[in-house]
This record gives sequence, C-alpha cells and structure tokens, in this order.
Amino acid sequence: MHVLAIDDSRTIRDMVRFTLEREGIETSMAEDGVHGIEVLEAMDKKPDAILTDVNMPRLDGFGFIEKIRKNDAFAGIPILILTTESARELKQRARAAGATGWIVKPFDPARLVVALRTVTGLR
Amino acid sequence: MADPMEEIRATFFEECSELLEQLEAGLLALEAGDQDNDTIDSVFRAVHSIKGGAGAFDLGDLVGFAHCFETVLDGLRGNRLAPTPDVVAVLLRSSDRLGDLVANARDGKTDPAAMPEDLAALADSLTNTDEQVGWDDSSDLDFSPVPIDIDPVAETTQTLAAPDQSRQVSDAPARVAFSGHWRLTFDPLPDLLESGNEPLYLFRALQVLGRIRTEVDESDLPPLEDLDPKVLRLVWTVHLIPTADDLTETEIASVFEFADDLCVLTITAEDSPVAGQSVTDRPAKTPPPATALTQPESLGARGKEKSARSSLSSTIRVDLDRIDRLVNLVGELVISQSMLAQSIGRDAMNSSSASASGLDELQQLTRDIQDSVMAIRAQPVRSLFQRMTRIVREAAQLTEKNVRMITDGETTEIDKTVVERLADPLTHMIRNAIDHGLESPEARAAAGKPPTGTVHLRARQQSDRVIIEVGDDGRGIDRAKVLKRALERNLVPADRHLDPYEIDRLLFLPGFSTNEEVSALSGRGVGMDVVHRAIRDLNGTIAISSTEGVGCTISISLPLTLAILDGMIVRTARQRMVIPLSAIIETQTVTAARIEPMGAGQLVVKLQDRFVPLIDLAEGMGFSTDRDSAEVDDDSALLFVQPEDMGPFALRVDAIEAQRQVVIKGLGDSFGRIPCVSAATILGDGQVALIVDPGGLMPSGSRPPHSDRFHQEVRMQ
Repeated sequence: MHVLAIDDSRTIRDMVRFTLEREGIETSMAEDGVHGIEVLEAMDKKPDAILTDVNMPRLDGFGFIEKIRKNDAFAGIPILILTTESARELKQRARAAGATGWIVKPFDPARLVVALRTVTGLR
Repeated sequence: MADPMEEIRATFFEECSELLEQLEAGLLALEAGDQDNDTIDSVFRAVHSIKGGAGAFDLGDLVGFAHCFETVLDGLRGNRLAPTPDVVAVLLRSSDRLGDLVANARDGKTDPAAMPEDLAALADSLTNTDEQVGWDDSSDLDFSPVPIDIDPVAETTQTLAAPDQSRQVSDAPARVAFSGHWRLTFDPLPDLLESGNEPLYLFRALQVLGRIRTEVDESDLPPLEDLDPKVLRLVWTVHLIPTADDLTETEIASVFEFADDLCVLTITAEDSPVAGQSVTDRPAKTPPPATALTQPESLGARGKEKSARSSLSSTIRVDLDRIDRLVNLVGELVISQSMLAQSIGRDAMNSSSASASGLDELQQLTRDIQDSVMAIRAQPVRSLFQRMTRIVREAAQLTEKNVRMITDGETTEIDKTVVERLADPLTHMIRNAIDHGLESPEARAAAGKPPTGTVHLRARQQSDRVIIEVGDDGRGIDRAKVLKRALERNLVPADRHLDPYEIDRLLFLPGFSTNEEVSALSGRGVGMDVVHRAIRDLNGTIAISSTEGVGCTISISLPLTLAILDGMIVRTARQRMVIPLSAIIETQTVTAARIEPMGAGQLVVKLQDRFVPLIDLAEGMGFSTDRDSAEVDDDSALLFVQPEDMGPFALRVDAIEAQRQVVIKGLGDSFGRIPCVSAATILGDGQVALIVDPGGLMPSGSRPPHSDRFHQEVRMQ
C-alpha cells in the first residue's frame, strides 16, 4: 500500500511516516494542499490512499479534497482527514468536500492503519 | 538516537521553536496593524500545530493551554473578536507563556502556574455553553463506532442510517459466545462512490472478521444505455460467519464507520447456520460499476514529468555535529593545502608551471569550500531578534515604561554558535537600556521626548565582521555618576583624568556594577563586564557611544565565523605565534621606533603623537628571554595593537613572518583558560602556534605599573 500524507507539521508527518512504515505501508509526504497536488501530479502511480490535515497554509484539507474530487485523474482515491478538530460540523464539512473518512489527532496508530486498510481494501 | 519516538519528539520541539517564532512574528505584525487574514491564519496555525504535536506526546498542560489559545485565535479568525491592542497584548503574553510550557514539556518539568486569567477570560467570552474550553478528546467526537445493544439470542435488527441522527455512546458489553452468523444488508446511497468509499473494500475488510458470502440485488439498475458508473444502484446482502465467537455488532459496524451516513445498513444476528449454499471464503463478488471505478488508470497524469522528489522540499535538516565535523575537516584541508604549498616551495616555483597553477587552483578551491561550509552554519539573526521582543515586553512591563522596539537587518547572517551565544549578552544589554537608559514616561515628557521610548536593535555585515547594535533614545550615560562610582570603588586613581570615551568604558570593568541598586531587572549583580567577557569569548569587540540626554548605543563587532582568523605570524623566543590582524593598527621596525624608558622597567614608544606602553611579547607570554629588553635588534619589530576595550600599546617581537588566514583550533579543556592565549592553530609546516589574545597580555602585576587598563595609555600632551 502506498499512502500520500499531507500535513504542515513535521512532527505529525514524522509520526505518520513512522506509524505506517512500521506496518510496511509506503508513504509520500507533502506539506500543504498545493504541495500535495504537486506531489500527486508528479507520481507515476497514484497512491492507494491520501491522508490529509485540515489546517494548512496555501490550501487547506477541504480545499485540497475538493480539487482532487473535481479531477477525474484522481477519481476514487480514498481520502482520510486527519484532524484535531472536534467541531460537530466537521463530519458534514468533510463529507461535503468529498472525504472518505476521518481520523482524530492525536491518532491511535492501530486505528489509523485499520482505517487505511478498510478504505483501500489492501492489507 | 535509537528510539524513533525520541527522534520524533526532538523534531517536535524543534518544530515548536519555529512555530513559536512564527507565532510571535505574526502577533507582532498584528500589533503593528497588519491584520489581514493571512497573518491571523498563520498565527492560528502555529498554535494549532503545537497543540496537534503536543497531543501526540500526551503533553496535557501544553495541549490545554494551546487549545484555549486556539479558541481565542479562532475568534479572531471568525471576526468574533477584534484584534485591539489590549487583545494583542494578551496574545503576546500568552505566546510567551506557550513558549514556557513548551520549554517545560521539553525539559520534563511541570509548571503549577495556571492559565493566565486574561486569556481564559477571552476564551470564555468566545465560548458559548455548548462548546467547551479545554482539551477533552472524548468530547463531541462523533467518530466512535456505533454500539447497538441487541439481545444475543433473540433475532434483533438495528438500522444504522439517517445521517446525523443522535446516538448514545456507551461501552459495548462483551458478548457471550455466539454460534450463529450475521446477516448484513448494505444499501448505499447513490453517491457513496463519490466519497471514495468502495463497497468491494468494505467487504474485504469484513473478510478479516470471518468468511462472507454476498448477494447482490440489481433490480434497481437502469438499462445499460442509462447506466452511470458513478451512481450506485445496488443493494447487497452479506452473510458473515465470524472467525471469533465473540465478534460484536460494534466491530462489524466499525467496518462501515466512514460510510454510515451514506448507506442504510442493517446488521442482524441469526443463530441458525447460513441457509442454502455454503459460504465461501472467496472475495466478495462485486458488480462491474464498482470495480470499474476502483483503478481509474489515468493516462493524462502520466505526461507530467515533474519529479515528486524535487518538489518535496528545498531544505534538509542536518545534525549540527555533522556540520561541525565537516567544518573541522575543511579546516584540516586548509592546513594540508598550505603545508603542501610550503613543502613544494610554491614561491620558488616557476609561476607558469603546471604544478604552480595546480596549486593555485587547489588554494582557490579550498577557499571556496571553506566559504561554502561556513555558509552552511550561517543563520539570520532574525530568530535572535525575535526572542528579544519578549525581553523588551517583559522589561517594559516590569519598569512600567512604554517601549517600542525597532529591528533592522534581521536577515544578516552569522555563525549559528555565535547566534546562540549572543542571546544572553543581548538580553542583558536590552534590559539595561530599558532599565537604566530609558526614562519614565513623565521624565520623557518633561524632556520634550515622546512618551514611548525606543530601543533599536540593528545588525549589519561589514566586510568579514557583523556589527550588532543596541541603541536607546534615553538619557544617555551620566558620566559624572559613573566616574564618581568608579572612584568610590577604586577602579581609577583619583588623580587620573579620563576622557568621555574612557569614562563610558568604565561600565565594562569588572566590579563596576553593584548590587546596591537591585532593580527588578538589571541590577542583579551581573554587570556589563559579563557582557563584555561573553563578547570577547566570541572574538568580538564591544564599543559604546553615548550622548547625554539623547541616548546610548552599544555596538558589538563579531567575526563572521569562529573557525578562521586573519592573523599575523610572528616569531619570538624561538616560538611562532599568531596575532589577530583585527587587533593590529600599525607595525614598525624597532630601529625606526622611538623607545623611551619610563619609570622602573617600563618602556614606552611613540605612536603618532603620543607614547604608549611597550611590552615584549615573549616576556608577556612568560617565556624566558636572555636579552635586555632595551637592546635593539635589526629584525625585531613592533606591532601596535589596540584591543577594542583598551588603549593601544606596542608588542615587541623578534620578527614578523607572514600574514595568513589560520584555522582556529581550541586548546581543549585540559588547558583551562590562559589569559593571553585565545586558541591555537596548525601552521603550514605542521607546527602548532598559539593565537595570542593581546587584550590578555596586560599584566595585572608589577609591569606595567598601573593596575587599571586605562592607565596603560600615557599621554604626552
């Protein structure tokens, strides 16, 4: 499995990478939505899933998902939101943007891995 | 570091310092009236990111505070709170506090201090009753699997559907052994696929729980010509025979966690075995529309040749130790290069020969490598200056003065070590400027000055040195008072006439500063002499210029790097030594100089229109010499040196050999601190030479006769 993780926090990127690579999941990283799209476009093979933060400079997580969902080249890639937000409307906003699911930070590593396996159908 | 979590933790704290800088810069911009959305967003994100990372490391104090802070910033972001000066002042104080909490968390300290009331009050005012301030990760998160109480024996059906229906959250009790199977019906909304949820994958995830068999109801499918592959018109029934007897409905429902608002799901426990066909453990069969969507091989994106790697980041982070090792190696390279040149005898070579031009090239390359390596260590002083804004704020608050800080030249770069070691001296200088330099608002008004005092922090590069200045527009140095105190403390003899420059420099004398005037800030028994020493340890010099009633500026001049020094190689007492070029003002041959005796054993020599003390370098360094110090030798020379913090004097050496860049090598801890030696170097022929600190050559004992440095200078007017 190959996951693209987008987060402006180096700490979170490191944690995600550590968590996923320990499970044998390959990871690519991007620092914000704009960067995420650049990385995505430059990839020869699309990632199996995308994990994105919400609050980021330049292009936030929702904006990123909306852009991805409008682009047929990336259709169907499961996108999980990784967020500290506990606001009630988060789920609706995530849904409206086209997110597949959400994981709350601080994340439980096992839960993150299970969620990724569920949405990708990959072990 | 073996433990990856420890490494990530270290990354977190590094990142925190960057975020704190970003936060502070943003808040200062806000304070300066730059209140656009980008500024507010960046401030919010800084706090948000600190909170996010802190949560990952379970740093409760930090998370709680950051959350409260974030609430207030979110108010700003949503225009529910205006960034008035009062609010920004609270935010600035809170950012200081956040910095303290980060430092505590890093050092594993706990801090009993509570949330600053002003921040908490702001947060409260923004929070209505159904939102809570404080970190509680169980609050309000609608992400828990949906537990459904069913009677394990009787057949019960629960429907999970209807987006946003309210749910009860409870701990699902452990199930008793369950021997039957589960029947699921999964009726997705037509737009399920648009969310990236894929029935096939969900069924695969179910297979982890047991063996499944799926049936598809395709009665709702439109005719082929009307088929839209993105619209789901299928209903599935899944029979699941769990691998584990204690599989709960909660666990099954959790597979559909992300789709639960996009489908109608029923999970039914049936205690009878699956009727009809045997359940297979093959992957569930899914209809073509879904599979067609799972791997949308896009050809369009393939044309882009941009490499993901190159766009990832333009910077890398490197352990400082590695750079230091590189710096050292390059130092060795410089030495080897010069040894090579010397042993081949570059000077005697035909300058057009291949070896000569090869050597020249090597020398040029070595120098370029050296510059490049030094540039790696260079850092803008910005972060240092930003730290000082806090010092200004605190000092202003404590002294109840209005202070404005202006910074200039923040992009000036200087060696990282120097930046770090400048923080304390600068802090002290700024506190002094505010405490002693700036007047109270009333006094300023009386003097016809604006009530807000200004502290100027400037940095600039001047050839191979960096100049950093701390200036204020306060009252300036009260020289009469300074002189009076110096006399009281016997720092100067009563009969000495000191010019204003000399009086100002008295401030740097050890013992000048006192504990008598313990103010909340600077009078802690740490005087400017400590600043002075810190700057000298960095091979820097310090100067002071003050105009009474107008203000005072202290400037520090520092070498760009601590690793290379331009020096004059001299010979004395059969030793070779290096005198820093920056300290030398003039050289003369002894024969041309006018040396006169003055008092017992003391010689003076004329430098322009005045006489300055003459010290024999060998004697000053404690080498035994068997010659009469008044004896004149043809080769011997005089170096007139003037360390920044004292008057000029002359050094007598046996010969001047060359002017050269040398690589500074520390003497190592075993030597302790030798007053007149700052470091050592390895010369081109492989010999070790000491680097002389001329400032330390002035003995405190019998010669020259005065104990005070300011008396070294003998005026002839």
